[in-house]
Amino acid sequence: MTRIIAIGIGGSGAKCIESLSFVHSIGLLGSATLGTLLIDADAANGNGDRTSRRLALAEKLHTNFSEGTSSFAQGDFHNFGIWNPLKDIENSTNLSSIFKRESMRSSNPELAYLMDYLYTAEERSADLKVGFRGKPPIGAAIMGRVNSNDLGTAEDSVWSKIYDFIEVGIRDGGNKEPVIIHLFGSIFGGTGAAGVPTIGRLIDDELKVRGLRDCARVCATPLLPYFSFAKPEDDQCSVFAESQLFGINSQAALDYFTEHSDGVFDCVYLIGNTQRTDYKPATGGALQNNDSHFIELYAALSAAHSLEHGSVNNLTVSYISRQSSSNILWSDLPPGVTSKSCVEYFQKAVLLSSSWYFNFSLELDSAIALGARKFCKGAPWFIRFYSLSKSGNSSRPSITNKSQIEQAKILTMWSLEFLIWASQISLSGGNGEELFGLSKLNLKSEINSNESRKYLNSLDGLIRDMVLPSKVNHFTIDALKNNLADLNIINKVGTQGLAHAIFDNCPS
Amino acid sequence: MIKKKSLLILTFFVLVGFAYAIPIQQQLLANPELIASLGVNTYQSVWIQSIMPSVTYASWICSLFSMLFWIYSAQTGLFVSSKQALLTRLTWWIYALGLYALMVIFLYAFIFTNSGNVATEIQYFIVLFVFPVNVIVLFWLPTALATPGTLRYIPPLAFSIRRKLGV
Repeated sequence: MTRIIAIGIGGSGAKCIESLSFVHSIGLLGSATLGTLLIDADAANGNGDRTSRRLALAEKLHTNFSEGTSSFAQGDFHNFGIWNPLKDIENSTNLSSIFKRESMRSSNPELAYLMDYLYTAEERSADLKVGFRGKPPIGAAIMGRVNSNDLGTAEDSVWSKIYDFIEVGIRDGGNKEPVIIHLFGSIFGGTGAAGVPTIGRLIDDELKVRGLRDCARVCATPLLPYFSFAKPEDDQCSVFAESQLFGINSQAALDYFTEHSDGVFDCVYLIGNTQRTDYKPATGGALQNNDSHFIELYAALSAAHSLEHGSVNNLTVSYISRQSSSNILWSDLPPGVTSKSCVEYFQKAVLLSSSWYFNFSLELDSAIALGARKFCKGAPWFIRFYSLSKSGNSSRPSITNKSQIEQAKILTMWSLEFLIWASQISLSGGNGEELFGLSKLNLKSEINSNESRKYLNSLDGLIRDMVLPSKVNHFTIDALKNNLADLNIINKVGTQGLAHAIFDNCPS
Repeated sequence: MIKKKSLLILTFFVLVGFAYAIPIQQQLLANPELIASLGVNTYQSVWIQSIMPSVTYASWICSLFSMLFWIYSAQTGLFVSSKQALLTRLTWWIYALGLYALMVIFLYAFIFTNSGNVATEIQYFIVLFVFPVNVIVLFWLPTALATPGTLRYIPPLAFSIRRKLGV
């Protein structure tokens, strides 16, 4: 089975992994197994925190829904959590203390002078608990400390689990199914700029030591500048990410990347955007919680591309552009595996998530409250998936069954997260809604009581900028329910079967 | 569009309903033994046989329109939830009882206007037996078996019958 280990380095890297998790859940990576790891010194970073929550949810989704009949949630998902490159450093969270500058002044004064020359007093004393403050030189110094021992040999370390994951993939695939290690990170910020080449090189070294390098592909998607922000108001420190320096940072980081990753990567995807989206300024922490961006979706799709392109030990640099710099269209997005069109999958996913969140999940709550026997008389689709008795029967489970309730809850939460993510993607171009038309759904970021969620019936206009068949443009949830009720064969029952049947029966 | 299967069932019941309402029902009410059991004399019997075609045709047409109107509402209606669909059970009963009331009004407004009390037993027979059976055969049965879409299980006993018959 094809395996991808996706490693998100820094805040932007985490956001790419977030997009990749959705791309995987809707089937654009085919039946590949996806493993994810986030690398960030700022564990409480809003972007990373949100991504961690969504990755944990995606893992639950795949555990519960991967064995269905459609491509929804197909393939396994392993969330390896977060690895902090500063975790071994206790009570020393600035450059001076990490590099023991005071003792260095007596033991190695030349090096101390060099440090003073390279870093200002503010940079040396800046607290790095909130990340590397968008400063590539700080990131380079910290990430440069990371060595192969940090990417651990200890049995319980996250890295040893990842290498086991790679080894199992290579062993099971028999060299035919590729195992891909794909790194994501911004090249203009603090963590990603130094992290992508450094971690890439260390993984490359470790794979060579283990004799696995020829059977694996190491790919990277470094992100060029695609957003900007003003000086953070929340920080008294003068060391912060300055978006006017992103261009210079990128140039320097690309030089660093070229120098430090020679022969490391089999495939490199450089992605950026000339129109920069304005984000709310914040120096790390929970406040650094930026909306998802379509560039991150492109980055995620590069993983799908790397599955089928790029051979081992043959450096490939791929370029992609959109038809018009002023807007983004579905035809601008690259396809998923086996050249499956993006819009087809996103359309099904949007129809599934919106119909589930705004209708089916409420209906299942209603079925529990009314009793299945009474409920089904107004919902002919229900009896195709659930038993009418409270204990269920051999062929269909009861809706009151704990596992069914839990599955419904997972899908409801995932649907909301997916819709919020898609909604943010649709607004990220700065030209109003593009790709998706989700503003009419009035999405709220948290699931409140059911009363606050209104039933939805019309699914018109959820996909934009695409000429769709009339059956798609005038598609209602009532029609979808009747299609489900009239299905000749139901391969899977229960909540899992229902979700896959919805995904399969959504028009595309 | 209404499903092919529902359309076939519907057509079948329209034809069965017609056969029942017109030739069978008229033959039944022309049965001398039945007429005699109702205590009707020969003069009244001739009169009854003369009015029955109007009664049966009117009854069939009213039922047909009610049934088609229900089927059309079910086919074109949009129901966002099971609760909303379940509310139409009341609508179904309004259709059924309205149909019955319409038949009775037609009977007294156009057929029995000048009959006085000469055919009281016949009136009771038609109102209490013929019309209820007509509602059952001409309205309930086709709606229970051929209502399309979300409302397919809304007519009384439709759920049990359809699941048993697999339609």
